Formats: sequence, C-alpha cells, structure tokens
Amino acid sequence: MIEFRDVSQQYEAKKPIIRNLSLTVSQGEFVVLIGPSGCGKTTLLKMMNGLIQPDSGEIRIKGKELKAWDPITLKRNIGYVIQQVGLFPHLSIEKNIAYALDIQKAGETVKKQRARELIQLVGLDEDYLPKYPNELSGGQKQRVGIARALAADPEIILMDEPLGAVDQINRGVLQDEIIRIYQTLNKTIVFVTHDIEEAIKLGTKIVVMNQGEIMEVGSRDAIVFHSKSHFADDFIGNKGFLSYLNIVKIEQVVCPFNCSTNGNAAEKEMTLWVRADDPLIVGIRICLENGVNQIGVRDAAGRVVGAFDLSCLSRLKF
Amino acid sequence: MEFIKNLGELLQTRSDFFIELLLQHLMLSLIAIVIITVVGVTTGILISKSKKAASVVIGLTNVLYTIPSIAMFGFFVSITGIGNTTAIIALVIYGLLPVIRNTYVGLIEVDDQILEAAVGMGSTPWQLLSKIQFPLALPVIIAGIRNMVVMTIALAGIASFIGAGGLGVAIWRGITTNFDEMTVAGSLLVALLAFVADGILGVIEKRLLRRTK
Repeated sequence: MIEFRDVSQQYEAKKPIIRNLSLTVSQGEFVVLIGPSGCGKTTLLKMMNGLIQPDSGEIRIKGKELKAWDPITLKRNIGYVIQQVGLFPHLSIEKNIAYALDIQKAGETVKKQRARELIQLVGLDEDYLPKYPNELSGGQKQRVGIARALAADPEIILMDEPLGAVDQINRGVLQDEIIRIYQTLNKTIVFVTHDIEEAIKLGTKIVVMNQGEIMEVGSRDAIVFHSKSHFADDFIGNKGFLSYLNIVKIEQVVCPFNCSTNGNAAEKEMTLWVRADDPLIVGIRICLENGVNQIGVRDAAGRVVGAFDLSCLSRLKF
Repeated sequence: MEFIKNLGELLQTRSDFFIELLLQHLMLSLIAIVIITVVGVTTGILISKSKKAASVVIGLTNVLYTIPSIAMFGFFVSITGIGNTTAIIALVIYGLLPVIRNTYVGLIEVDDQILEAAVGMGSTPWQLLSKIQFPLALPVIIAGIRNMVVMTIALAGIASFIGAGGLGVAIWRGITTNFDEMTVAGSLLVALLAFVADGILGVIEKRLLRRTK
C-alpha cells in the first residue's frame, strides 16, 4: 500500500528530519509510528499524503510513485485525521463529515446518507448532525474527525495523534472505537502517537523512530520482548511491557489444568477464577495476591475454558 | 430652541432639495462602496498568498490613508477635473485600507489546523478559499466593510468641495452664506445616513456571526 525507499527530507538546513528511511505498509495493517517529539513521525506521516515532499528517495502509494499522483487526487484517496481535530467551525457536523464528498461534488442525498451512516459508525447519535463543532465535547469532536476521514471511503487512513487532546478516560474508549472501526472496515491505518501504551494497544505493526530514523519495526510481541535496538529497548521498556500485560487477554495464554509440574489443584478444587477476556495483568495479580500459581479461567458465559498458570506463562512463546 | 425650530422649518420647506441631495449622497457613496468592496476584498485575497506583497500593499494604503482628505480631493482635481468621478476616486482610495487590511487579516488568521485538515482532505486552492478560508474570515471582513461604509458616507460630505453632489452641497452652502441651520441640517442628514447604514450592516454581521461562530 505504502512504500518508502531511502527517503530523506531536510526540514531545516541543519538537522535532517528524515534520514534514509525505508518502510513498507501492507494492506490491512495498523501501523503505529512512535518516538520522542521531533523524531520525524509526523513528517513521515505527512509524506504519505503529499503534504510534505521528500528531498530524495522514492515513495509509492498503492503501487504508484508519489510524483505520478495528482496531489489533490492522492489526498482524496487517503483519509486524514489530525491532532487538534481541525473541524470546520462554520459547518454543521453533517457538512463536516461530508466535506470530502462535497469537494468531490457528490450529490446532496449521497452526502446526507453517508453522514448519517458515519455518525452512527463512530458511536454518536444522528441528533448531532445539525449541531456545530463548538457544541461538542473534545471526545465527540474527535469522533466526528474520524467520521470525516472515512467519508470518501478511503483505503488508507492517516491519523496524526488524534487522541492527543482527549482526556484519559475518553482516550481508552476512543481507542476501542478505533480498533472496532479498523476491524469492521478493514482499512489500512497509519497512526502517529507518542504514547507507548496507545502504540502497544493499537498497532499490529509498531515503528519506533528516533532522530529521523527507524530504530525498530515489529509486531507488538516483537517490540516488547525482542527489541534489537538499544533505543527501542529503552523507549518501550517496562512501560511497554506493562501495557502489554494490560492488553493481551488471558484467553491467549490458557493452558490445561495441572499443566505445571508443581502439582496444582484440579479443576474441581479451584476456587479462584478469572474471565477469559480479562487482561493478563488481572490473572497475575490474583495469583500474587493469593500466593498461588494457577487459577481457573471461564469465558463470558461462565463455561470453564482452562487454567491460567504463572509457571506455564514462561513456556509460552511471545 | 429657536435654532431647532428654524432647523425643522428649513428641513420641511426645503424637503425636495434635501431629498435630492440625500439621494445624490447615497448614490455617490454607494458607487464608491461597491468599488471599494470588490477591489478591497480581491486585493486582500490576492495578497494573502504572499507576505511580501501584503506588507507592500498594506504599507502603501497606510500612506495614502494619512494624506488629508481635502488635499487628496484637491490633488485629483488636477488630474481628473472636478465632479463626481474625482470624488469617487478619492473616496475609493480612502476606503480601501480597512477593507484590504481586514480581508487580509481575516484570511491569514484562520487556524492552521483547520487549513491543514482541509488541504489534507484534498481541497483545491479554490475550494480551500471559497469553502473554508473565506467563510471563516467573513466576520472580520464584514467588520472592515462596516468601518469603511461609515467612513465613506461621512467623507462624501466633503466631495461637494470639488463640485460633486450630495449633502456636502448643503453644508458648503451653509458655511459660505453663514447659514448655520443649513450647515447643521446637511451634517445631521449625513450622520443619519451613516448611522442607518451602520445599523443595517450590524444586523447582517450579527446574522453571519451566528452561523460562523
């Protein structure tokens, strides 16, 4: 979908913001770009829809060279969500959502219908359509921002720290929404953040950047457990591990009862249970609190699915 | 008291005369206002693309603005002669500053994030201007136009000094014949005209602000 080969970009004369960078984003991936501020992650994102031109190197979007794209057409083919939302204050929510269709001269009925579809998709009521952005809360605005990016049904969506200005509680909810939208619509998403937890939670592929270079690219597991670069190790570190424990569900590490060698209680004698969709950290906490190695796991309907075992965890391949 | 009575009488007995002057004044101002709005807004839009051009143009209009109006009228008499044309030219030159400046400021002060979102979604330059920038700058532009309208109507009163029509004729006649009621009547009508025009624009401005806030 998106391919960078040896791309460099000299933002100011002195320091190169992007240095000889190569990266491939495949269809259906959720790629998170993460790194300290000034590492070039936003610059990299803006190169993907032509807002910033590279000085050298090759960028291909959907197989076509960036220079071969008409800049307007390219941008219309890519959804774009920005940090401060950037909703148009003089347009109603409906018109904001339909803006991408409006500039492509879609008909009124198409625009109206699409706005109605999308506002529901992002979890807002249709009653919001005639309202104006200043009547919405920060979280609601960001939902509209996401709906707006989806209007023209682009295959690729770029998100530049979309949740940067949203409070902690809403942030979690919106992250879940984004995951849900990603899974239902099967889009390719590139997401910029400086929040490690967010990166671990959202990304199917995580790109750690520093000073205009990619330090490491990998899956969630690879980034947390097998980072090869010193920088990524330091940057992700225990914080990344902690969010990993918060995100990975117990169902992914369920083992049979009595799987460990130190002879544990059988299923019938089990008194401690967790739910399969609880995160790992809940299981670990219950074990530590009660001084046991093994507890039982039930699914949402209450059926027994197996055991969660501390000593078995070490045998799992991450 | 006597004076006000005389003034009322004058306005009544010479109502045809005043109405004609009022209409001339309105016409003169209106032509200038339309030209100023079109030229001013267009110039403001054009210079919003380039900081350098903006400082040159705004600097220039600033200088023109500081020239005393009577001198400006006099100067143009030597080029375009006496009469309405000269008056309109001088009025246009004066009125341009607030309109150009407000259009420029209104346009460049639109939030960068909003512009980036619009550009990033694939707006053409014309769409960016017509659908985003201009509507958002409109309250500031209208404020500039409002300012200019009042100024132009007031300034048009001086136009009769160079042979143009309008309520300035009454003021001028009042001064030269030591006829105070005539001077005051002319001045009052100029003020009234400016006041009404400002009120109308105020209503329009309010309506626009409600939509764009």
